[in-house]
Amino acid sequence: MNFPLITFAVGMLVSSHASADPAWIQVSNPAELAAMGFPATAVNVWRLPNDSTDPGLPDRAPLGSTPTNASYAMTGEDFVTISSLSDYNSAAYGHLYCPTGATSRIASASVNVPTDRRLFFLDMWGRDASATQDMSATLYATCQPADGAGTPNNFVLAEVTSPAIVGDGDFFEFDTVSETYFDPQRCGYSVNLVLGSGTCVGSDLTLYKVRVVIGGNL
Amino acid sequence: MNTRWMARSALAFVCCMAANAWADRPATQTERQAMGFDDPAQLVMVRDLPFPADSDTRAPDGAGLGDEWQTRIGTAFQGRTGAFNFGGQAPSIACTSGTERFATATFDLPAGAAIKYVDMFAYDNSSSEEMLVFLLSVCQGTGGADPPVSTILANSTTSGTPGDTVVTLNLSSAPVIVDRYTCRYMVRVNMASPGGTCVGGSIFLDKVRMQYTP
Amino acid sequence: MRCNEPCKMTKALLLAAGFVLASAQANAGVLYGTDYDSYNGRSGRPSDSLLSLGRDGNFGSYCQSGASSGRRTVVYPFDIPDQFEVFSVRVWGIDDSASNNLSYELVKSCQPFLSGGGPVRTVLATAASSGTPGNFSQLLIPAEQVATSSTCAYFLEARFAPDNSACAGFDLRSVRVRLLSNNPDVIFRNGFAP
Repeated sequence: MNFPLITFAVGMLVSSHASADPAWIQVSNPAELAAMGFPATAVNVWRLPNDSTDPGLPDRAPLGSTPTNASYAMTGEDFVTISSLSDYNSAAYGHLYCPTGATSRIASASVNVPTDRRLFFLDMWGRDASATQDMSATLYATCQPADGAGTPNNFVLAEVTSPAIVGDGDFFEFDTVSETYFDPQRCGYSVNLVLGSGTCVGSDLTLYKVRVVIGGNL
Repeated sequence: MNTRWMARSALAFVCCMAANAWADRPATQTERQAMGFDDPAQLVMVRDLPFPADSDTRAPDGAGLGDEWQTRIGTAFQGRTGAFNFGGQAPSIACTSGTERFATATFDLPAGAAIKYVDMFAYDNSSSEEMLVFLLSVCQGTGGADPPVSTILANSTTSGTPGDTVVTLNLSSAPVIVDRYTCRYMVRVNMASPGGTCVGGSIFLDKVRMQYTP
Repeated sequence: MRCNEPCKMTKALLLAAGFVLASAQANAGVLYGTDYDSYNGRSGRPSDSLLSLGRDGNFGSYCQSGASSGRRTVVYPFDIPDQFEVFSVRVWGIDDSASNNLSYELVKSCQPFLSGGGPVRTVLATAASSGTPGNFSQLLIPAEQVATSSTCAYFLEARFAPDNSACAGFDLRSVRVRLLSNNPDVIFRNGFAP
């Protein structure tokens, strides 16, 4: 009897509802890993595919009116660059961009969300006035044993990428995600921001805000 | 001043007049420079408190009002750019050199909280410079693709050479009500005003504490 | 289909991954008012701008500074509501360095409620990696367990090396920090969510 497989299936069944169980997909493409800021040879990065048919996705409007912590937002000051000596600019408006020509264009922020809250949306506001490059924000869970040492595993929970240029470049984009609950006992949560590829294009790729929209306990 | 800036200024002014008992107005150039807002194309508003602050009784136990506190130590503040040179033993930081003198920390308050006081704990022994402190909101609606609107909610400054000191932003007569779904709230310091060059260990930021009613 | 060794390893990883995330609705802690706050290693703030920090593939941080002037500490500030009980801080890291260890101090820094006065630091708990254990995890349990947020700030200070000394680089990494606190006013375990 294959106990590990049964345990896995039971574990997934505990939390899922009527929709099909999601299947984690290992991210193994070196270019994709490097673009996300991971080592190109990383073996501990997984992606949760979107399930847009999930009947549990709520209308956005009521979520914003709940009196509880229905969201967690991050602006430029919440992010730290991949190297502490990297140059950056918040322009004093809570933005974030890397100066033209700089080579360090990745930053991250910790996400602090209560236990057992379901993740619904990852929102991103920004400015993409670059004809050749885009910016992206990815929400990760980095998980280890709850009460001891262990190798971390990283799970991609949601991803947002800036669109092609519209008007002066200001945009709002969001990602909907399959059923996922926050578990800060076992996992740390981070948003990884990537401002283009190659060298920086300055304020043509500027982050305004990233927001995680969550629900109450189910 | 471009047409997009003028249109959004008008919209922000009308919006805020409808929602609040006080008037939000566009920041002057002097105010923008004091706060580190260099880009004239970005919208910055100022909330002018219309009434004198209440002489509220304050006590460490919240004076029985059920008030809470949230604190950001100096080390938690991030420079406006990577050129911000700083040092010090936590919780305190000093701006050690150069002209990048602005640093900001964000606060994470519950929805509907009423911010009544912002207290900056600092050390100022500089005869040439003061440290300015500002409470800001940066707001942006869901689906909106315009840049966020920054609003200066209150501000103050150290004065003279008091050594260890507390500077308070008193909003108790008109508390700021937190809308965490739309806005981010932050405190910014200017660690060398008006000269603009950091003075090292003559000015330290220890912490900033918000007192609010949940 | 028969499963060869690479397949079994993949299954084991998926098991760990799926079980960890699928069981997210399991109760966290014994008391209903408990709260976990988790921070990635790179979110720690350097004590001075001279400190060179890098980020590993797990959002952990490591010190790249050589034997040069400056502090060798990063700080993880905590938000602890007034009168909450501070149960523990758990840290995770990687120590492959024969020369350096990661040491931690849970610090309380207090000042007068509404008058000038320099910060008074009190170390509530300490921990450190030792030798070359590879992945490690340590627990800090404070001597004083009730937070006074009206006058005090709480933070974890991680040290990569003595000040002005060379760090161990990638061999010594701070991966994650987790605070466990409790709201003593929450007494019901079911049906009365905080």
